[in-house]
Amino acid sequence: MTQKRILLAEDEAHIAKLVEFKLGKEGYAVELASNGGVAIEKLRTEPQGFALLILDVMMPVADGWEVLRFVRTESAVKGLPVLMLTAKGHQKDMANAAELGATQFLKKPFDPTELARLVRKLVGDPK
Amino acid sequence: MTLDWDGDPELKAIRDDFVKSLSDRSEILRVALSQLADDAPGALRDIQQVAHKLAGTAASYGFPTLTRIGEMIDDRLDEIFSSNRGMTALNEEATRAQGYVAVLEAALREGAAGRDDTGALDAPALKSLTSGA
Repeated sequence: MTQKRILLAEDEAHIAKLVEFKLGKEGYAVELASNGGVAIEKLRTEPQGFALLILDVMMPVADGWEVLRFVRTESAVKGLPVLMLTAKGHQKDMANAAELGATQFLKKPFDPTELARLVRKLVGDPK
Repeated sequence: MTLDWDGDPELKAIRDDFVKSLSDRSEILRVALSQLADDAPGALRDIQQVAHKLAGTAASYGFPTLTRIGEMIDDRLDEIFSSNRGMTALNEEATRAQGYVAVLEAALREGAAGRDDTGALDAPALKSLTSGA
């Protein structure tokens, strides 16, 4: 069986490295999109390629809200689980994310072990 | 945080890279401080950007104090910028920022040495941000 692939849309390199490391150790394959525009492009190119989208809110080119709107309106990726990484104004972000159809939230800064637990809850085992 | 930072060479390298970045952030603050008098809005934006990024990352790397200071400064500057109080308020904030940015800079220097300086949170310049003074 092949590894489950996770698309990580995150522009902060230090967070991206930590997530890639932790989820990689857990056995998932993590692909990085360094801004929202790249994330949308990857989802367009491989609509069935990912088991989960981990999505930061504040990113250049297209922010997390724009990416989430794309996911929930584009039929090919509509069912993709989305884990939103929220930061400032967490409650407001959570409300926005829930309205737009995010599956789960995690407040930054987060414990990477907690992130791995949520990922497993959302997509199951890595293979 | 539950990661064993020294137990895996790859993880240690990732953390070392973050710790190294703290000196760069300190340098950005130093430049911003020198520009506060001439360009308060621009310098305060630069300070806020550093604070915001620290708020979202540092605790994940085992530096909760840096995250807390980052949050306090980020929130403060959000309030200042969103209140649209004009240049007078920004220039007043520039004077005040000298104090709390100096605290953040010192905490970053501690961080660059691998230490999370919890005592920094007792600095009067930071306490005044939450007391509404």
